[in-house]
Amino acid sequence: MRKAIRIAAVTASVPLVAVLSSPVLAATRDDGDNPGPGLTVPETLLYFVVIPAAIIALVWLAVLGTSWARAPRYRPGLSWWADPVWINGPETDADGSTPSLAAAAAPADLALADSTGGGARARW
Amino acid sequence: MPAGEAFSDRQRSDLARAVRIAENDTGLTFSVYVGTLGDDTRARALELHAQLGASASAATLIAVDPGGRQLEIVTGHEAKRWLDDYACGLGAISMTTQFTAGDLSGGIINGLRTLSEHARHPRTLHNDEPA
Repeated sequence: MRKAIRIAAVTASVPLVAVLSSPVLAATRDDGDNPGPGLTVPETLLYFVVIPAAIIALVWLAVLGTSWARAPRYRPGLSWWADPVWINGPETDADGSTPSLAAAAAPADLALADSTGGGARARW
Repeated sequence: MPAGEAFSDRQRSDLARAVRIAENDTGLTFSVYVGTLGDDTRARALELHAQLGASASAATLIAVDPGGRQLEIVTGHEAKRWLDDYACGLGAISMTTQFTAGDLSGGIINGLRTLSEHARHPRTLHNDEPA
């Protein structure tokens, strides 16, 4: 592990020095070089700001776009947004959709009958 | 958050299948409710269980309140014979473990599996009356 770090540091130092010193090399003219005309301000902005930004936006969209297209999913701690769902509930409609979940006033004797049952509760 | 469906079509069919398998394995009725349960979650869960009508005695209701992060399991009188409170507690743990990770449908399906494993019993044809 330590050896790998050492090798990586040595390998990285050479290109790093070359990159950092390249503006200095550019300041002195050499025989035979041909710099050509400089970039105008709009061109510079286009090449170094607009195009990189467009590429970043493209990657960003490719990563996040899929989750935008999907329906919201449950995340613990956030409020619940969806309509109640009752699978295998009473009188499921003919088309298989959730039955109307009108706030039913359960008769007291039914609640009493259930006291012989059991169950469990949990929080998360 | 915009109003919408709690589960995708795929998740819904998976849940329905898990309920059907649990019922075939145990001869009991299973029902899954996902929605708000209000302040008194136990009372609301009992109310929903009573709404199952004639099958309520042999029915087990799994009521999940994702917003309030509450889970209630209600067993009827007949269902309790095969699915005691200890087994329900185990099922509740297996469900909430996955709810914590944000997987509602997966947790419910796993919980159904746990519950049906505990409730499995030999059929007594003169006595069992699955819905």
